[in-house]
Amino acid sequence: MIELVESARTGLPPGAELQGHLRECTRCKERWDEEQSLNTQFQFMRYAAAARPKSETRRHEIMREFALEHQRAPRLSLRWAFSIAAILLLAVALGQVWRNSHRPTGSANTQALSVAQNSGASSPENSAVPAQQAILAQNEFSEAADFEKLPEDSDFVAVPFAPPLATGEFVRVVRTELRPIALARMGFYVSAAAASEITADVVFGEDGFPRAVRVLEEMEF
Amino acid sequence: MPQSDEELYRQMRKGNQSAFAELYERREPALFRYALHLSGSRVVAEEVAHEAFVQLIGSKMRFDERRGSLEGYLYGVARNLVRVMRRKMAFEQGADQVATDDVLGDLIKDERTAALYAAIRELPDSYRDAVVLCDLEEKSYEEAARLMKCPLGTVRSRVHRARMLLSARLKALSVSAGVTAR
Repeated sequence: MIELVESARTGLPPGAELQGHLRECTRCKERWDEEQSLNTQFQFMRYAAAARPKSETRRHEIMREFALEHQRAPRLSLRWAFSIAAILLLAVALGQVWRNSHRPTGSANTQALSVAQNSGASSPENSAVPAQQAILAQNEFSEAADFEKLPEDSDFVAVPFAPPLATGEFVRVVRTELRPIALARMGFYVSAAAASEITADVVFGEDGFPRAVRVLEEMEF
Repeated sequence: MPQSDEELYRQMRKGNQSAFAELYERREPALFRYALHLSGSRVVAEEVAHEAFVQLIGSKMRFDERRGSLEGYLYGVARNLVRVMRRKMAFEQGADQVATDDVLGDLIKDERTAALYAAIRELPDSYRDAVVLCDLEEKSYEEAARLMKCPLGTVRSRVHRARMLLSARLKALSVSAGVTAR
């Protein structure tokens, strides 16, 4: 049967043995005829399918589609590039914010300790400023002061005639703008020429009285 | 020496339009015929052949050389598109309508050929593929096996079975026509 079908498919004449069999077997002869008929039909279908008018419109359409697709591709890659750049910028900005929020912790400790030491040193009466004070001072600094702008060699000067701090008393350091007259009232010598406000860190005791002042602007005392 | 389909595809991906044009000229007519034999509809075949290339140039679908030839890939896309379109058309206007309305357009008015197209459409997918590729597209068993991704012997047996089913269908048709004529 395989030979019969293959012979019919390929159009080759059947072998002598098959030819002899087809003469004797009516069933196989019938199948052979059916296969031949099928071949004729397939042949007709092939011709019909091949008789296709060439469509230039379709061809133009697909070529235009191709051109459009390749115009879109760079635009897409440009969009990707912008997206990546935006993400990078965002990452850098977030990193900066994170660094800023973490940086003061280290410097604040040192600053707070130095404030405590400084305030203690500048007012001999308050020689021992507890660690709690330093911590509080640190908190105040972190809220009210910008440590980056503090000059390295600055120092607190004790306010003359201020009441001494009690042991364990908390201090607050507040950065503020002082009028020259306020400094004068605290016993500092202020030049008459200094008319504008002066930026200064002021150490306050729990009673709200100033204990020490650190002037952040250059001026004559 | 002509470039392989895969080489043309690589160039096409880089934006070479002439490579794409060559690939289109080379493969589109066969895809059209394949879709026509599968669907029996010239309209569907035109649409499928076009859509297969639209998908090829699109960024969503990517042909992978490691998984087979580009020709096989295109036949696969066309086969799926025919299936989708037939389902869609059957849903929209009824399957019988599709079968009788557009069997090769005006080219084929012969009842027997129309019946043969209908019989081909009713064959199981694998038989239909085999008979379309081997008998209508005149591919060798080796080529068909490569495109269908199955052993050569399987293709041969599918072709034989498909032909037997088609013969039986045509025989039944001629018998019923004879009865009607009487």
